[in-house]
Amino acid sequence: MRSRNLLLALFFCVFASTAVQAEEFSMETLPVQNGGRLKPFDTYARETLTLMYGRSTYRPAEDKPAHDASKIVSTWMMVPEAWVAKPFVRVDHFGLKKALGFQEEQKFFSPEEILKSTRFGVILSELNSKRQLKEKLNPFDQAVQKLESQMGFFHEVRMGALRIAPSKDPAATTWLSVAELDATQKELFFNVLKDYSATFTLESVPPEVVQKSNASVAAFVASIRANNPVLYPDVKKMATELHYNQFAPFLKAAMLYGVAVLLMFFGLLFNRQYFATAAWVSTGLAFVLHTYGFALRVYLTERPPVSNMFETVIWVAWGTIVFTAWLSFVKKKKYILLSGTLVATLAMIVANSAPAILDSTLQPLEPVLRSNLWLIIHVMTITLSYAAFFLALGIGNVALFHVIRGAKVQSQEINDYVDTCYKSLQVGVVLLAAGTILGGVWADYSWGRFWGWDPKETWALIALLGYLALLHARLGGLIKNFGMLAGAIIAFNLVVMAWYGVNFVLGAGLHTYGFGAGGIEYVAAFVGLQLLYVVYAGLMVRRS
Amino acid sequence: MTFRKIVRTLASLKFAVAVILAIATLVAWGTIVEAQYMDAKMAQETVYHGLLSYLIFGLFAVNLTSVIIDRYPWKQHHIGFISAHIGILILLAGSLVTRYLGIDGSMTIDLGGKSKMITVPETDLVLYTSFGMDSFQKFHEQKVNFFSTPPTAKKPLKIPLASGDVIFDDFYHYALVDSKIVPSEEKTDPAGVRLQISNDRVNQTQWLLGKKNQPSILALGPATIVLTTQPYVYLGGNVLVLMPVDDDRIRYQVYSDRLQKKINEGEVKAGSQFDLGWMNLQFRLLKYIPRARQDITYMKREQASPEAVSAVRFTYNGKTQWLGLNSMVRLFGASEMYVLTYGNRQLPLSFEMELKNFDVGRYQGTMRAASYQSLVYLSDEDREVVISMNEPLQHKGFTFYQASFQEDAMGKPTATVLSVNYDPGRWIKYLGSLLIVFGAVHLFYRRWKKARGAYA
Repeated sequence: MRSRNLLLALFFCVFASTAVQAEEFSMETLPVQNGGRLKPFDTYARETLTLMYGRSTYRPAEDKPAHDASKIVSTWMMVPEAWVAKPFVRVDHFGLKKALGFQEEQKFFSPEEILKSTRFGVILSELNSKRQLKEKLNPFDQAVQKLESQMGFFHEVRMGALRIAPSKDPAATTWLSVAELDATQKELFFNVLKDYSATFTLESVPPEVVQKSNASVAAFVASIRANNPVLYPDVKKMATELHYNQFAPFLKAAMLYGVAVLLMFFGLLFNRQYFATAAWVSTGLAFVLHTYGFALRVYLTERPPVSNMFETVIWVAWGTIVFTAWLSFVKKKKYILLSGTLVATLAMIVANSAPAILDSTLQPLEPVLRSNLWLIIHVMTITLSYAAFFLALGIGNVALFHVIRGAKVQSQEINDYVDTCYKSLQVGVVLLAAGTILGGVWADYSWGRFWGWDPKETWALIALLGYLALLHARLGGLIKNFGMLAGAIIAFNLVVMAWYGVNFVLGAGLHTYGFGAGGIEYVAAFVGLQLLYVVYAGLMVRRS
Repeated sequence: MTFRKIVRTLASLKFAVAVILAIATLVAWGTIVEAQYMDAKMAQETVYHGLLSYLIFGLFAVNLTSVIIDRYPWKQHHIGFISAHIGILILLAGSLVTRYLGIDGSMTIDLGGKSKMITVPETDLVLYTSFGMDSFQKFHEQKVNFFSTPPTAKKPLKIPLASGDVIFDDFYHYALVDSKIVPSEEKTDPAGVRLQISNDRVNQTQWLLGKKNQPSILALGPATIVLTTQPYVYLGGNVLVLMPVDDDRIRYQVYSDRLQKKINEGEVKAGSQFDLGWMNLQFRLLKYIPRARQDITYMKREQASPEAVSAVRFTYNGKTQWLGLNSMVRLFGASEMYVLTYGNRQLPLSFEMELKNFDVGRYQGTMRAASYQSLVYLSDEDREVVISMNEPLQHKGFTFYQASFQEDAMGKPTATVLSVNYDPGRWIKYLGSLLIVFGAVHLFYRRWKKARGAYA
């Protein structure tokens, strides 16, 4: 216990020292205004490259090393001609590729060939007429919309539309773009780009080259900050965001949770205590990184980090680990850690591997969400309940794994699994009931409507009813051990629907802030695999 | 004895599980209906407030009541159990109170404008009879819910009038309105013109449809265009008067505000143009229809959209036409005239509200609204208050929430939209909610404690 605390303290010291630095300038931390907030150039470049190319680093060929987004995007400004014919615009939608007359198996296309396609204009005007009629956009339209914004972004960057300096007009909150800078400042900015490009060698860069680049940035900042010092952000905060981008705490946490799963799995197979101890250490480290990532996000956005799909997935994984630790403490059983890290790893991998679907960027909030207290209470409570249900799903899976391997369904061992599962569901039900009601309180307070049958709240209610049915069926003896475990797995589909399905499948209602598209095939595969697993386990139970 | 038996059956967990699953299925269906029609109202009318819904929730209430009775005589350890289950009953009761005694409306006030009317979702058909030019009297008023029970050819809705029935027999839930000026067969119909007024900064193209026996006036900023068949009497302002001569030619007169007199006159044909003499404006007659009428068609859509309205079809005096929600139409009988309206009900408040100012805060460098608020003046208390997102105004039992706003093409706000709410069921629902959460926590906590006791 003590060693764990020590470790914790150590970690925070290390992080604190990397996060807080003196005011240092670099191209990566240069503030730009984009998407309703100020962000370091590195974040802007990563977001733009992810939109264009589907990844936050660029790899010219399979066998070549990857380049940082900042470098790539700055060359769009410096030498746009070099990029026009390069196939780096990612188009995924098969129907759209077909409509444009492109090869379906090709993934990347050059801006030139997209603009040359005679059909691109026709497709765009069709989309526009749909928008004018305010009709619902289907996946094809959304793909067109994405391609439109890809082309728009590239065009903007190369035309110097990047907003880089505060305006001299004290009333203007919109920043000046590169193209709008006066001659002196423009000159300074071109120096920045020129000196930055000198650092683009693949071999080790001499420190004086980096220093020269940073000095140009400092000179540029000194000049533009004078335009309106009040509007210019704290460079330290930009540096912290750069640190968040580069350190990728959630990715590291995902890996460590994965390691814990493997360790626990071996521990169960070989029944050795040291595996479990090592797994706890790995989980502990992952949890610290996980929490640190949250802390950074809260500091950067100045709000609780539960306002979009990405953030809730991360938060649910965090909650799962908290419940895992708590139930492990109460019941002192190893399988709880295995179940918890298993689902947490799954969630963290999903969050980290699908940037196009789960938007991990830091976004400003919609007006109605800008009342932090209610947001915290209502959303956090509901998503915490998802964490409890997620843990129950993990326990159900691990228990059925034992059943498939030959454990008797009515044995003492499985009884214990069912008991833990039941407890986890109880916690979830209380939290979901409270969270749903608090959602009503918030809606009443903000909109004057306690309950409006909005799909998001309705599906939260359906999930609640599903789990209530499960608990009552168990209470009445309508289902036994197998039914309980299978139920914990199957009922999670309701959570998947409330959490993902309403935003990504139904796409209707007031809670449109988090709407997105994509990933449905993966989610359907997850749901299908889980159902098959339950059916298979059921057949094994029948046979024995 | 038999009563106990019935109660026991109705309180059984099997019945409870069945009812819970039935509710879940029903409301899940509702969300699918909503997604299919892109319309929350459709799901509310057909599913959530439908007959089946009342039946299933009724069974739920029976089940909950029975299970509470079944546990009688209650013991101390029943506290959590009873609290949670009674809480649900109270919550349901509160919802009924809200639904039947509450008001859930909205109010749109233009910037600088005043309003005392709330618009509520209920719809009415109203008929007025005319006594002379502009005096009307309400003659028939009827609450209709075409949305859930649309009139059909088999089950039409009839309103009897002296000269025959008005028969409603078809309904579009969602329709796009298309309004055109078209040539008319009717000899007495007025003329219609499509005109363009332009200089190097302004370019406006408009339709202007004449009126029978009176001038038709189109105000375009500092200028006025009058289409009339009668001699025109000048009263000031920059005025262009258009007087149809025959099927080809229109006689025009231009009056100047600065000179206070006629400055130009002549004849114009479709396709020709002349200078107006004010602000370097040029007039061009794009199209001239000697006898025209407005043709409003409703195109049926399968889904709701912000542009779509619902519309009902009716026949009167052998003429069949469509009437959109919140619009009106004139009906001509043998000798009498009626006005028929179909629209959302308006409820008057006891005071008037005036929108003094409206502020939108935007995220830096974008048009995305970060916050918005209305400054309104309350006539009864002679004071100004601010209504902003998450900071509603409570006044005279009503609560006013900042819901949204309307803006012009330049992004300048033109009107505020407040949602107005009166909810006598609020505290009942809150009480129920509190009992549910308290009960659930108590229930599970007690079981956990018992279970831990068993381990020891």
